[in-house]
Amino acid sequence: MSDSTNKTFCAGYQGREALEQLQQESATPIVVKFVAPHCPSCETLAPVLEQLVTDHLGKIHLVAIDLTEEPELAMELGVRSAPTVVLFQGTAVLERIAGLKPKKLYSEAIQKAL
Amino acid sequence: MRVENLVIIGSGPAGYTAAIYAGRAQLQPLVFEGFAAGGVPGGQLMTTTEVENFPGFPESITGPKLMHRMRQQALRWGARCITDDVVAVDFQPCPFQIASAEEMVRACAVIICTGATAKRLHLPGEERFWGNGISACAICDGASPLFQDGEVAVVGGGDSAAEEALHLTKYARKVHLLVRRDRLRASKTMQERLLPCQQIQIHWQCLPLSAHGDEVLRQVRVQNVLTGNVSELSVNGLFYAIGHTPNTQLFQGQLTLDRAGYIQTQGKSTATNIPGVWAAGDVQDRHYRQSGDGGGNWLHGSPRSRTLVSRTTIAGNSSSSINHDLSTNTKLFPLSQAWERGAEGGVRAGFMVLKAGFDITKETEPCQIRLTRLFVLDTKEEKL
Repeated sequence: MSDSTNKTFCAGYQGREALEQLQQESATPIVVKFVAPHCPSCETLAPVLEQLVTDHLGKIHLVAIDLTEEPELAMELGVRSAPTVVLFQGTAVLERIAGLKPKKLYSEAIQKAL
Repeated sequence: MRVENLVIIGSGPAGYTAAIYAGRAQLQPLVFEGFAAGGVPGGQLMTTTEVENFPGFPESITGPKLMHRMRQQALRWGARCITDDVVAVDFQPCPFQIASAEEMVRACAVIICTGATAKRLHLPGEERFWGNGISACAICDGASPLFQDGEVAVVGGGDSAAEEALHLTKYARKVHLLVRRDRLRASKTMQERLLPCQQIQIHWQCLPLSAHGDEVLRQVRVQNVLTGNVSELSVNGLFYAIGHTPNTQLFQGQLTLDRAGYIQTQGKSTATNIPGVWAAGDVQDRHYRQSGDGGGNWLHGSPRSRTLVSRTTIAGNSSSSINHDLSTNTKLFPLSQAWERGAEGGVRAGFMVLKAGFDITKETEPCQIRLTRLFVLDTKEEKL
């Protein structure tokens, strides 16, 4: 459990616009976490992803998207529950992890994308 | 490998309460809060909205806020929290061994507070639509675009089912509540909120049979248990609120479990069949399953567990003075001797010196050194 509900959304970037801009401008892989308000699993996951991004500083972007604010994008990407992590290279989806899964899965997916 | 005084597995009300008491007893407990297994850290209250019956919060408090406060209180008293799942335990060696996904520790005592997980029905089609319409957590998944302005069903007749149904009315146009019996088990307060709600339709004596759809859930086939009539409900969501299964898989073969899988504790105590291992909260309580109880359970447990958490011995600066606190059925030994006896199998543990670098043989330690007696020692004499 993280120390603050706000941490759920405390990623480097937030929202669809930020994601689309990164997809156009950056060749760096992008980790998108779809979260929902009051979602405890999202809070649990938040520090894990933040740590992974810190460990690979500059080599990976992290974007948080509230799926209640972007339902169309969530539907497009087949996101049905929170948290769901989608790993992008540009606009191509490399990996999708739905639900809260063991930490190793996230680090392995990011490792593979680098 | 580090030897911990006390490892607490689980982070619901029972886990954090144990951590607060052990922390105040200067045991510096290590808490494995869990991560993805057995529900989220903080336990089932993390998926509850308002908690209205926890004493001390007349204006009510949300489940996550309450758990956050319990955690803060445990941290304040020196508990160390690791957000990781325990994957294996071995209660045969002394000290015990506990392995998480990331590290391995040894511990003189263990308190198990792993709680219980929401049950599933394992209907035909359930696996296919799990996470694509079927869920056991309306609070987590209710906000999904799948359910916006659609129809959903909740299975169950207790407080959780009522709460989930009411919560889902924020997102869905209509909520069908499928109740197996002809009445609700939910508390009067919840019933008074549920029954007048226009968006909720209750289907009495009704059970789901199977789940159908394409990429996502579209229909649930339901049966009236009285008439046997089968009909179809067009819903995008199916939420389970049908009780719990204890999270005791890790301990099978090592601890005595009852037929339903709950850890059996001895008499009214929290002691398991292995001296030095205790169980508190939902994992050993199949009846009440309330947060106040999970926490309180720890307090009014066995005299032995109270010994563990609450008695500390302030010893002077000489090794001889540590034996002054002998009570009738307790034997205390200096650390080294206790471990030797541990090897013989008669003694579980002795003292822990809580100040780093403290040398028990030196008489020059400044003022008072706090020693903590871990728990009662001789398993041959003690019937826990």
